[in-house]
Amino acid sequence: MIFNSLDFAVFLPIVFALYWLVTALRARNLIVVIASYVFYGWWDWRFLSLILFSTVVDYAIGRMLSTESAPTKRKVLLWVSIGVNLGLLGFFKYYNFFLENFVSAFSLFGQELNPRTLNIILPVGISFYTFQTLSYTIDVYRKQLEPTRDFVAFAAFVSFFPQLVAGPIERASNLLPQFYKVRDFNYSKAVDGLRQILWGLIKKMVIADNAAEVVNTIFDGSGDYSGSTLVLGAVFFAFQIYGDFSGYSDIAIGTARLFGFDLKQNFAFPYFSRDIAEFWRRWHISLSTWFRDYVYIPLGGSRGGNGMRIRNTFIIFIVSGFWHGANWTFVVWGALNAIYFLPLLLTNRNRSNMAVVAGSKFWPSVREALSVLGTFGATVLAWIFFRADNVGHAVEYIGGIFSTSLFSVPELLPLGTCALIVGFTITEWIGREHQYAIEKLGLTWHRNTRWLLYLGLVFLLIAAGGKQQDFIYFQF
Amino acid sequence: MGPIKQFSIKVSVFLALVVALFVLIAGVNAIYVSNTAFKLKEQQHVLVLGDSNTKCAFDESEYPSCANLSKAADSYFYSYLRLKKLVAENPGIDTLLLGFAPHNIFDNKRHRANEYLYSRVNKYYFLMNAEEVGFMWNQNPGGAAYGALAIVKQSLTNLAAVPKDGRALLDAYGAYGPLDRQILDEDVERLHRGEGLPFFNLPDTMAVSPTAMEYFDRIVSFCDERGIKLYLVNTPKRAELLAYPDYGVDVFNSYYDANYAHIDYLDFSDLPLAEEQYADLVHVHKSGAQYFSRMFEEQGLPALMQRYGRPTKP
Repeated sequence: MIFNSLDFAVFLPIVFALYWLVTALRARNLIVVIASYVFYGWWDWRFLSLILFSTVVDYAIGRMLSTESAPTKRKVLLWVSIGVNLGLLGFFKYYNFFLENFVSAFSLFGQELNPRTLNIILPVGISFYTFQTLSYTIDVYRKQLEPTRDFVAFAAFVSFFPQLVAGPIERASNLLPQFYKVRDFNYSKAVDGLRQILWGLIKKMVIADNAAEVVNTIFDGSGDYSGSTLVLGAVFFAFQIYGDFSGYSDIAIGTARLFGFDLKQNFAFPYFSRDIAEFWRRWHISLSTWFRDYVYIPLGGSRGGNGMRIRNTFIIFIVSGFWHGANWTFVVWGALNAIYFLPLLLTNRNRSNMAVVAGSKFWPSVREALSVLGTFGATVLAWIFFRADNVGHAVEYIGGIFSTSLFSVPELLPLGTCALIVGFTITEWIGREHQYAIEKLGLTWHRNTRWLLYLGLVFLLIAAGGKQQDFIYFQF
Repeated sequence: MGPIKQFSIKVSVFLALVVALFVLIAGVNAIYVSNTAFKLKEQQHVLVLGDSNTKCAFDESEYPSCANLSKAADSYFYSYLRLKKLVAENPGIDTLLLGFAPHNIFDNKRHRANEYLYSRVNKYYFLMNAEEVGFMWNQNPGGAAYGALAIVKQSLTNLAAVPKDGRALLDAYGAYGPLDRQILDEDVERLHRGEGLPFFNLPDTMAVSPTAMEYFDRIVSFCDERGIKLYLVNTPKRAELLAYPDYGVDVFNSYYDANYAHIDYLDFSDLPLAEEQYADLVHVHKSGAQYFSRMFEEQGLPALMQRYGRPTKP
């Protein structure tokens, strides 16, 4: 089930009530597991076997690592976990991609192959929970985390429904210990959770779903539109994917808070970044830090000469791109971001902008504004590859932008959606120093005024919500 | 008071406020729409109801005594809801021209789809009694529930709409829709290749839909009780479609003969129009609508019945 559905609106209060009605820790964790399996099985109950399998394998490997001291055997156990998890991911996500490209490569040599492609359904969330369980076994292997003996707590950690299907990818060191201690209901935390859920729904239903209708029209008929319209389509896609993905994260984090859990921030207002390095510190933080800690640093990170740094940077970005989907467009998207990032890395300017842009001021400086706009432009260009059907489509799209019609009036100009995006961006700008834009909004107001704000947002959701679209990251 | 109890009470109160505001907006919308969208002009005593076939075929400017409140993809259920309201608001209506073609009587699962219900619940909620709400709910509870959520959005759209041609909310509740496209050749090609048509769904089955005919029967009874003369109308269609086996013309004609032969049926399906007067296989172009509508204005219904009526049995 998806967050913005009636099914979830019925599911959540029931689970909330059952969860807080019981007092025993183990019982609460068990409710989390059952609820999470119901949540996940709502899509397709057959895939419950995969998540259960991954859970059992990594729990067992964790237990074995706790008693195994021989380095070689420990390494074997680690690689079994990696093999199982990446094997599942590789099969379900990449089998047909590799097969088709293998066949294409052979055909270049005049050999025609006719292998069987399989009708494989991609299990929702597999890219997320496999990475989450891998973080557990790797941390246990590195002796940075004590392996758990509590299977229910571990199963709850792996399957935790708020973040199961589209993240944030939680580290075991952050989330698993929260299942060990009794969680008391915290009124402020729960209210804050509801506020974050509301903001997440606004991002998804008002911003992302409205932008999606325009994006789909423009990208599907990109050959017929002027350069200015194509720019509009690309910019709208930037808002669609941000609203969709960060909205989901907000709902996930807010929902977790209702149950007393604290998940990590996954998006820190990335479109206000002044350079691409800052962007990647603020976009899908849980994935980029996962790749940093488990791939980049083991490869040598930024140590060594420029050659190694360039190699590692490309590996990280391309793998990250490939993680998103079995299509060359994602690989190109990743490579493009690597090209953006490298000059900063090689000149040691990748950590120039660590604080929030414009500090506590409302207006940025001219230099900051230009940096933000330039970085946004670069990411929008890269997003074209992310959204396009294939690399050829993306190249044609970009070619269409840089044509004589770039400065003409767009054929499509959805003023309503534009107004929503402008209003949304201003709200995000004002709240950019917080966990989410409206975290502190209205907290000092009189309760009646605050409730008017909430009512207004709820009715904005109902009145301005676009045609329901799937969450983009569900396909990953 | 414990924190959970405090939290639960506050959330419940907030949700109650949301529901109250929702009901208020829905109520204001119902009153507004009731008093605007269903008022016809005095001279409009012939009502046209149906789906896109009749929607594009009856041009009110050529046939001023008709009010065309057909709506694309409509089923007889929604036509019935509109009929009741229109007759209540316009006692001068004495004739109903009701779209009647093979695809109207066969089961159509699209009428139960989420999107379909989503676009209709928010427009018809105040026109339904409890039984009709139950009927709609049984079609697809999830779709109906989603459609209910769209009431606020539709209400705000309605309240902001500018009345046109003396009638507000044109097309939300049906209106003449002239068609400019002319894709007849492409449609014929698609039909020959067995492909789907862009603006029309061929019937999935030749099984007559009991639910569709339930409300067709209610329309018949309604007209009978109120002394409204009912004509069934099959608007012009291309010969290629009429001859297509999966369109079901023979099954349809047999069904009419067996069950509704006592109702006047104007069969214009094979009316010879020029090619450019068709928009596609099943809809007329606006030039075809002008010609077709003028026929009604100039010849009148009794004369048309003599010429184009399918033989009826008393």
